[in-house]
Amino acid sequence: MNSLDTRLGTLRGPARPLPHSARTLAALTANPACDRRSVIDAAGIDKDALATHLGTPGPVRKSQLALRFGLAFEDRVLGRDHAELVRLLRETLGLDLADVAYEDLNRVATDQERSTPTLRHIRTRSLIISAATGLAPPRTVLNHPVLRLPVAGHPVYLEPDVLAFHHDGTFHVVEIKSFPVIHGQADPVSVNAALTQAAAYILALRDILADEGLSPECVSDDIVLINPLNFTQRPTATRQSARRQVNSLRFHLDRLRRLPELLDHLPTGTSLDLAPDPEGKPTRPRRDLAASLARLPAHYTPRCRHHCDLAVYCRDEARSRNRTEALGTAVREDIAGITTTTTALALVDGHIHPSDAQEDITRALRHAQRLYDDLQAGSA
Amino acid sequence: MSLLASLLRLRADASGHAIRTSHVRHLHLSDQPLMMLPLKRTGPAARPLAVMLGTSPLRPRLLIAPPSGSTATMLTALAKAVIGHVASHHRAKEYLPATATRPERARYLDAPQLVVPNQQAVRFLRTLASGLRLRRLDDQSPSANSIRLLGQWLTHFTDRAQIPGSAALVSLTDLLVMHWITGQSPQDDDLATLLAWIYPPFGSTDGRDAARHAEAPDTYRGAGPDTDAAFDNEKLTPLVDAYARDPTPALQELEKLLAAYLQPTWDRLWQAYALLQAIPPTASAGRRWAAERAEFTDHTTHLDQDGRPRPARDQAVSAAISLERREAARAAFNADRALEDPFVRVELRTTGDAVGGTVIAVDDQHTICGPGGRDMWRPRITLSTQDPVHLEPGRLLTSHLHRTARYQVRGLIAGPVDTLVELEITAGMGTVDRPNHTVLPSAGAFLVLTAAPEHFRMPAFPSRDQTPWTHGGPPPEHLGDGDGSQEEQ
Repeated sequence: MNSLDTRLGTLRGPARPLPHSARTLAALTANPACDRRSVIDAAGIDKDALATHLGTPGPVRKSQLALRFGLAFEDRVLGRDHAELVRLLRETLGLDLADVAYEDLNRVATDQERSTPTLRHIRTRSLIISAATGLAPPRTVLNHPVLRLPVAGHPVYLEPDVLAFHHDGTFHVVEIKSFPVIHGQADPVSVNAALTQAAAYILALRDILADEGLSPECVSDDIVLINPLNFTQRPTATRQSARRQVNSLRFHLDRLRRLPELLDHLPTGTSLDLAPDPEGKPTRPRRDLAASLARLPAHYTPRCRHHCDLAVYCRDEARSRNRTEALGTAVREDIAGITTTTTALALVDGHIHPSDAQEDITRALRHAQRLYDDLQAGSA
Repeated sequence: MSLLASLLRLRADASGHAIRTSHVRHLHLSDQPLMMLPLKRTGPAARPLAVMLGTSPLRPRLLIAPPSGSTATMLTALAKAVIGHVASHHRAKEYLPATATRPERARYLDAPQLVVPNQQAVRFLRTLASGLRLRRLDDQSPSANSIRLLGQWLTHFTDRAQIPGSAALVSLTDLLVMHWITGQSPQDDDLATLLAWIYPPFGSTDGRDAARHAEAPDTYRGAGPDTDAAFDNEKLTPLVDAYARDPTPALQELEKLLAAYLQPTWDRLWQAYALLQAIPPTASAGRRWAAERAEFTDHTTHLDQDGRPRPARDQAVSAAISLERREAARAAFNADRALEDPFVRVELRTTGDAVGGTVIAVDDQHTICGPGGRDMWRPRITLSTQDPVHLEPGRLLTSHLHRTARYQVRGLIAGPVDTLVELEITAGMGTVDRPNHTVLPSAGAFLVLTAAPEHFRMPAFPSRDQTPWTHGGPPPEHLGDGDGSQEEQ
């Protein structure tokens, strides 16, 4: 227990912390300027529960139908003794058929249930090290391995779909995703999300190797992305470079070192504890909770709703304070330096005097208003 | 987005009411469009779940695809509806006489128009079309043929939708935001919240209030084509499971469920359509629709005579040509909008792409030395403006009052408040003896000038077999049929 943990624990209250996942790490890179999200995620606070208690639940994100489709596709790739996977890896990485040996890490030291992440991680680690050092017979394909990445001083367990080890000594992350590649083109947003997730695995894998004094260069920046081909369920694989996403994620993880600094700005006793009663029903007064949350500055953008459970809350908060964030990035950039609708319109209407920095934008806004008034009067 | 748009968004945010921007409609709207409201099955690529469609608000047809198994029956019904709508425009033709550049040609008197809620629906139809038109030719049954033909027509509509100013396939959300600005971010725009802002239902205090109500989780209804996860989990998943056990009753349930799910959006589509149709169209909307009728005629001829589907991916040359066409169409559309829409002109003035100002000096005797050594009359005027002008010298401007007039920017002199713009009139001014005073005004007059449309000439492209190696070289003749575009049953 370090002091950072204690402070994050105070913020969270007695609830169990939610661990980071590849998905939440990816969200860090989506809106890095949001201190609210950085702190809440670092403290492992359940954002969905917060949002629900505050009366602004986010949309349900996981569709059962989408999950099922994804699982069926994964089965198709990994089923029949990995026949499809081996074919695809041979095509994209040039793996020799003779080389291929698997290890499914879903079942370590137990025959039935999934083993604990720690146990699976230890096993994954030893397999990776023995493959990298060439001591043990190489395991070419690791299924459901568990990696560990320290995030803000805490281990985060990550589960890539597959890791492939090439006989020339390089590791490749393999991601199985159920969005289609149609006539050679996939949705760029989905591809970027998959690559950002893979970036977390690449960093974790490099960590393991670096710990053993092995070269992290063994882990390729290129990942193998497996998707359904066109309108079928037949898998197809493409090699994609995740270099940009790796660099960006590394940068944002390093920035998390600012956490103590962010926490320093919080008044003592700030807590986001929902204070659940024995039945698990939150009893924390909403107004009180909202006041605590308000001390953590948010950086709302309309894109937040794609990846953050608090998005609706933050938007309502921005609206209730007349802030311009909720009006979209165009407005925000157009009137950069003016943060509220009230100020902007007061400047336009001449109720307040612009500061030196606001002079240019005020003149432009007043000009636009004059033209619009002329138009309404029918003289332009 | 312009600074004016941002300012009006702030005003809408402060007042809670949507603000009307453009008062003229730049797209033709047909009296009998084929309204289409598609839903996509979560998971597989472009597998339809349902389509609600029709040419009248009161009698929508609902076509349902079973949750698993073949979608052929549904697609055949969809093909029949869409092709039927297309064919109803294959009746009367007009004949255009030959011109200097084109031979005589025929053109259908009207073209079909598809109307969908949003861009996502356009994209969904495009993906669906690319799968259907390239289906294998082994199956020559009438139903398989009609599905391929549906793919060809949907390809036509979705390709046209990429041309700015085309009204063959209209996204209502995009058309609404050309006419109203609301106090929500453009990223939050969807049919339900937009309409709530623009046309708050009786009982709401203002647009903001109505929009908040429209997006409350228990009342919100997305306009598709994706269904939201909550609907998937609570309603669809149980029915998908029930279908696996006993198809017939589950299918009936599904039909009831989706009819109820889609009805509110269907009503909103027609409400939005009625609002937009009431806005007077511009003259160029009619001209572009005439061009659309020619495109429709050409595609019909292509299907009758050749009938090969457009390939999955364009080759280098055809891709460059279609990009060039799209850019030319965008420039022409923007120029038309500037000439016909006062709001657009004001917007351009705030971005510095147009200028409005008072004539402070006129040199109506100015001449230049022409190519043959003769003097040519080129009167000059000076405008004084407070607009943030960003027009480099040499740019040609025109006036919406006299479209053949051309004003060339000679120079800008920026002052502390006003900017002086020196202009030379190069066309439309009449003659020295009988000047056109609309174009050559006297001092004190107020002028608004916008960028003159540029004359478009398609650049020369190499022929298909001359594609340079930098662009992949001449494309192979046939791609083979192992591309897996067949739907898996």
